[in-house]
Amino acid sequence: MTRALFFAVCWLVLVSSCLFVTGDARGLFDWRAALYVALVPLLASAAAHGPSALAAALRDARAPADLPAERRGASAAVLRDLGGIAFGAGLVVFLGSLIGAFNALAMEGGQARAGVLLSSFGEMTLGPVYGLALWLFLWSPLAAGLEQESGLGGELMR
Amino acid sequence: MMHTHRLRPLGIALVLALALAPFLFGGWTPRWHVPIEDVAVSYSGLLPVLASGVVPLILLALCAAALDAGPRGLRDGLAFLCGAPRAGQDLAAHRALASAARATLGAGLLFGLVGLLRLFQVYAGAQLEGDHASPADLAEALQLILLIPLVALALGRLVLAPAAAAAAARAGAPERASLSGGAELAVFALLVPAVVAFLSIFYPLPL
Repeated sequence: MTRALFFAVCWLVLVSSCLFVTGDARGLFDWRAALYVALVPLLASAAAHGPSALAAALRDARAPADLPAERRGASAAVLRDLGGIAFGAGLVVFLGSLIGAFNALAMEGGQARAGVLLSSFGEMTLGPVYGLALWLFLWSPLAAGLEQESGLGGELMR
Repeated sequence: MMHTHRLRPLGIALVLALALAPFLFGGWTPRWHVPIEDVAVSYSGLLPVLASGVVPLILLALCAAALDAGPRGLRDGLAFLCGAPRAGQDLAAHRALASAARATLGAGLLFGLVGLLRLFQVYAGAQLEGDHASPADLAEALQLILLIPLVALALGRLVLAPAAAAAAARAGAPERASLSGGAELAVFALLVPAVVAFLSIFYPLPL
């Protein structure tokens, strides 16, 4: 029973239950929100901690066993921070697309098409959903693995 | 100290039963005398929700504990929760329980948001057919928005987080933040769209 196995089970459970709940795979995927939530935290973290610290943290997640404790701690802090920023980025996607939808509504003459508006409201929740999933089940486990001697990153890369 | 540990599973069962019983038996009002057909009706509606939300919630909490504290840590955490703490493993138990509590509440919020997505799908689907959303479809989505975060709060806040604090106290270690108030506020915020959707059953929104 390794961490990598738990990681796989975790994402399998997450994706399958979300599919089961909505019953619509297309409604659950929004590549713009996914890209934003995945990439913006990396940029924000590179701006805050410096690109070299971010690169070191991502590299350290692979083989934490050989590293001194203080370096593992510093890299784990960077990875934990990434998770928090991912959820923040998800909320930004939510608010941004809300404003976008209202803007489109304001520009459009005549009666609003409620069906289109409603499905865009639904898509807005995907940003926070992606952010939470990345935070709880990717960045946080990677950081936790770094704080200990043998981590998730090492097992995934083996 | 030993007797308190033996009592812990009983205490946890009692807390969960008192917290969830009013909701699990016959509708949303607390009733202690429930006719059997009411139980059957309520469970037939609840089982899909439990299967799609609550079982994954527990699985995700177990996975998060194992990912954070390792499979051994998960075993130590479960042993602590069952009232049989393993000697010298309180810190690992605390680590596992704290991450399980975080993951439970976070996953509850996540499934609540997916329920919100479902709610909008119901509205949009009805709109495309030129109709108002049916109360049955709305109620199904509302159950997802409310019930899964409710179970997440009961499990994460009333069971796992106190157990994590107890493990930290037993280990004599500074406590890692298992949950923050923000998480509960976020779950609470899910009530707003739920209440609006519920009102729309009786007072159709101009959608």
